[in-house]
Amino acid sequence: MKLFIAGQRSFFILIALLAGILVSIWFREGNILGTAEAIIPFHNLERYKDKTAWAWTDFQLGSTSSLTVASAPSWWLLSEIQKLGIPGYILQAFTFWFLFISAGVGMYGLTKLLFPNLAQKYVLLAVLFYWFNPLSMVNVWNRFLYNYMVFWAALPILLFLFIWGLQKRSFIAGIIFGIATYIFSYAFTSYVFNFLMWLLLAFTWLFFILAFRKKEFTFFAIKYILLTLSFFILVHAWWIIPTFQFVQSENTAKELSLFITTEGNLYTLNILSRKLGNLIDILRFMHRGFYQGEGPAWSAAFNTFLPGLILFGFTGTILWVIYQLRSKLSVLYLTIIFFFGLYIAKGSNQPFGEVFQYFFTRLSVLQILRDPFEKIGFITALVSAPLFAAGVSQLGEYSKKAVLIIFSVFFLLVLAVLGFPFFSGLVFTSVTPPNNNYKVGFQVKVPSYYKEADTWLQRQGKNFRFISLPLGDEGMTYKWEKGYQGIEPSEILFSTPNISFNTTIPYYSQVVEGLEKLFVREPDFSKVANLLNVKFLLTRSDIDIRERRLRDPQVIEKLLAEREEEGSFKKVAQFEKLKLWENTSWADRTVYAANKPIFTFPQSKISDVLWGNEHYDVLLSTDTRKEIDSMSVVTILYPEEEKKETLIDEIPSFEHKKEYKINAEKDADYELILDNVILEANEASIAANIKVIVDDKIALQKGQIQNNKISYGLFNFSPGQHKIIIERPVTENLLSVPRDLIISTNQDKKISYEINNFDPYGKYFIQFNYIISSGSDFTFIFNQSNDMVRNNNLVLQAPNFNLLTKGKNSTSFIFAKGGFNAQRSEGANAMFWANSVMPTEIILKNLSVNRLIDPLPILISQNSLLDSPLPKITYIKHNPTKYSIQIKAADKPFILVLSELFNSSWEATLDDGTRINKHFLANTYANGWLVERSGDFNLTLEFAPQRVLEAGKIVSFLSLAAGLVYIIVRKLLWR
Amino acid sequence: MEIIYWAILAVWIIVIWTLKKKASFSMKVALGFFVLAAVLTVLTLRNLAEPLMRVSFIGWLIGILQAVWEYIRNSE
Repeated sequence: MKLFIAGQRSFFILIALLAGILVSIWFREGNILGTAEAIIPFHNLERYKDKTAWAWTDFQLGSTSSLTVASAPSWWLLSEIQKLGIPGYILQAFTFWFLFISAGVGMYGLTKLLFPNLAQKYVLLAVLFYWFNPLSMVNVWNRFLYNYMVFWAALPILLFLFIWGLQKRSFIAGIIFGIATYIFSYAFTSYVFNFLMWLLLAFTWLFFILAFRKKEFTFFAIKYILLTLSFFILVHAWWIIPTFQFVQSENTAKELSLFITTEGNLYTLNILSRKLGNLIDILRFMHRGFYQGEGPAWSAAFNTFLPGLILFGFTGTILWVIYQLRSKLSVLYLTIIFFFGLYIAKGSNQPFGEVFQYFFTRLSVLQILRDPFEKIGFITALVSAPLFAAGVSQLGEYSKKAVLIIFSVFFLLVLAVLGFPFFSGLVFTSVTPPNNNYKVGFQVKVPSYYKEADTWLQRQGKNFRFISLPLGDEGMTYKWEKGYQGIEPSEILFSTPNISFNTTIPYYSQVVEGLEKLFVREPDFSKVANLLNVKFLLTRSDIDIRERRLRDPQVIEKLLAEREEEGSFKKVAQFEKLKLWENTSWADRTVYAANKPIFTFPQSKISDVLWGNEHYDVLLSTDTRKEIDSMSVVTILYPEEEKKETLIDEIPSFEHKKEYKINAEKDADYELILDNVILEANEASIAANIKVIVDDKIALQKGQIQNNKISYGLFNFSPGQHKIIIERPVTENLLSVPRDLIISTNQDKKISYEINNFDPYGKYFIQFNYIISSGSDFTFIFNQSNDMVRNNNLVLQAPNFNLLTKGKNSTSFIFAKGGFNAQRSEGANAMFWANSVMPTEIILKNLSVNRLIDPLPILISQNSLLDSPLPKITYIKHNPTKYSIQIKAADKPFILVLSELFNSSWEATLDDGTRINKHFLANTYANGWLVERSGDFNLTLEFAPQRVLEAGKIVSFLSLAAGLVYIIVRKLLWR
Repeated sequence: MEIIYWAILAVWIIVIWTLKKKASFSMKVALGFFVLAAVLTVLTLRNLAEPLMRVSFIGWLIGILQAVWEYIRNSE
């Protein structure tokens, strides 16, 4: 090994220089790179380290770290260096440089090990091919996920070490392998990469046993793999043990059952196989989607004649060497993996895709390969690089005179064709703004006012959250000088926990999905904010609302100004495009005691807090009611809808009659309220048209509409099933144009009619009859004020209608009808245009746009409020996983709430060691415990997996130290 | 259409079995199909190229298995 390294110093210097040139180009402007799910950790490494260092983090409403703890050493090291004052972009450049060198050195070792007689220049070709091939170009560097990059960099070196140990029959190689995997532990934050690495090693191991077929070697190989595997588990104990615990937890099971099913995985596999699984693309290592439309403009060049031919030429060289050197063991080894990789990469496509599909549906472990092209591509790239180098060398064998020419041609082709997107920096661009601007690409320059806002927030304390508005889904686009698009990065931009996007995490998404709507519609929104421990609202006007279909921040700020007049929120700070508004009724609710619950059947919603007066302090679902019967309660029943609305392609169905059923457990009086009755001032009479029938009796409206709610008075429900029918009205026609029109249009002349009294969260439908009296087909859309515009062109998003010329020259009208959901926009138009340049005349009749009033029935019963004082609670937060609680003057049972996302692994333990077992969901997202002890006492809230993580860290540290000591001692003894 | 690839596999195996063809035969034929499919692809005839590439792939699978078998036999 020593000789191997020492002899190749100049080669390694060359690799380091080339990698240095690459990162110098990428980071020459002094900006960090960031996009997609990788966000921008290098902006604030300390903050990102927090996400991975503990078993529980305060990100979102709190979440488990699960497998991401495997990346903790990397982020710890980088954050420590950043503390010395080194800028994030330098650290990111250094990281990328290190990864390229690792990949290069590993590929050098692997190629030399398998083809010892291969000249250095061909080995260099293997390195360059591994660096720049289309798989690493798209699946690794353009994909821009750090665990992908690290896995890509680690694979050659790890495989080299493993094979080297087998070949030299050296157990020490297994130890070095384990230590190397620690350096690249970031790669193991993905289950797939763990699976792929061990699959590759298991095959390699088996291949060598079968190839040598000697008893002595087989015994060694068995001991070798056991040692390697055991040492790997010990070195990585800190994340392996918690991961096993995590996959068995109740929350994980819920998450998996919600989002991952065999049917869903099979559907994904088949869709992706059809898209990416064509052999004519795979054999060029090409991601079809990327190179044919989904990628940036430059990617299309790879689809043209010459680059296409060159890519096939590379594969042809690989196939040629397979044919030529088929009797060579190393070629056979690489070839089997290469073709296995191709077979998996094409997924369920032919030939023999059904075999893969058969095992895919029966072996759930294989379902992590539901995106087979992306995942197995790492293995294909790994084995094709040495084969490619050997292939070029083999071509040179035919003409000694042309050796240099052949090498030079391949060298230039790899460097110029494959290397061009890397050396030009284009590999860090995408089709989405601002990444589609080649001068920006993935570069990100966070404005300095974020730092100022972050510092200000930190000065306000560490016991609250804030909500960012406007609030969207995971994706966000920022309009900075070097802008950003990808997963919303506020968790990195701010050290204070915040709710800045919605994502599909159980409990979290149920709270966040309707939060902005609640803020807009409910004057008492501060009640909701208090349950979430939200002290500030942050409005941001540097985001691209059209790219993400968000509400206009100015409208939100105007609304906040109104709330300021009412006294519920107060503007307290502004940092250029960020404004902060304080929730004036906020009190620290990190940990608090409650004894006046609002119970909801079947499942509580965060908005339920609006139904009780300010004394009610916790939301619970009725399944916990039997535990708590001595407290004052509000009970809310949400009747179950009999017939679900069917949504087809996002177009809502507009049935006018809805039936609900409700099961009353005992005889009780409930107030029937219709919620969500959004009416403009001039539409008040519509409320009278809402027909409500309770058990075949027509209910009459009692009182005025208040805050979009109508009361129908008290109803007595005897035990058993009851029925509520609601006939929903529609608004009048919301267009101010005649119902019968003749419009003249063409491709460039769009005709639009404004929709009046627009509700940004409403459901609409349009209907009209039409005849195209002259001209072409036409399109109709419901154009909203925040619709996406790119290059000054409106991007058509569903739903839109292309209406055909069936009616041309016809005397009868064709009827068109469509439904729309408003997308948080401030206004909308019904827009028509002809699909061609020729003048088109359309006769429209009975044109109308109506909004559907969509009331939601709710039944509420309230007990009289008992005056029961709460105990006094103080707490100390030791870290994100542990709180010490001091309770004084508890005289009755009470509910202790921890405002972190519910997880069954949170434990409450009294100071005498007694565990409180009555642990349930509180406030629709948080943890609640029923504490039945009285007097003064202490208790501890702890996230149990942290203990396992701590134990695992010790095991890992000791194993790593033992491994290093063993190597040093061996080296000294050898000397 | 799936059955056609199984049929090609069966015919290919029968041919190499009865004519006692070696791995080089399968690989050479597969390489031929590969070149043909590659040319058709760069000429934008993807629909024609893909089935040919699949046939080439079958040829390679058989060729590799034959090569492994030949390696084992030669090393005994």
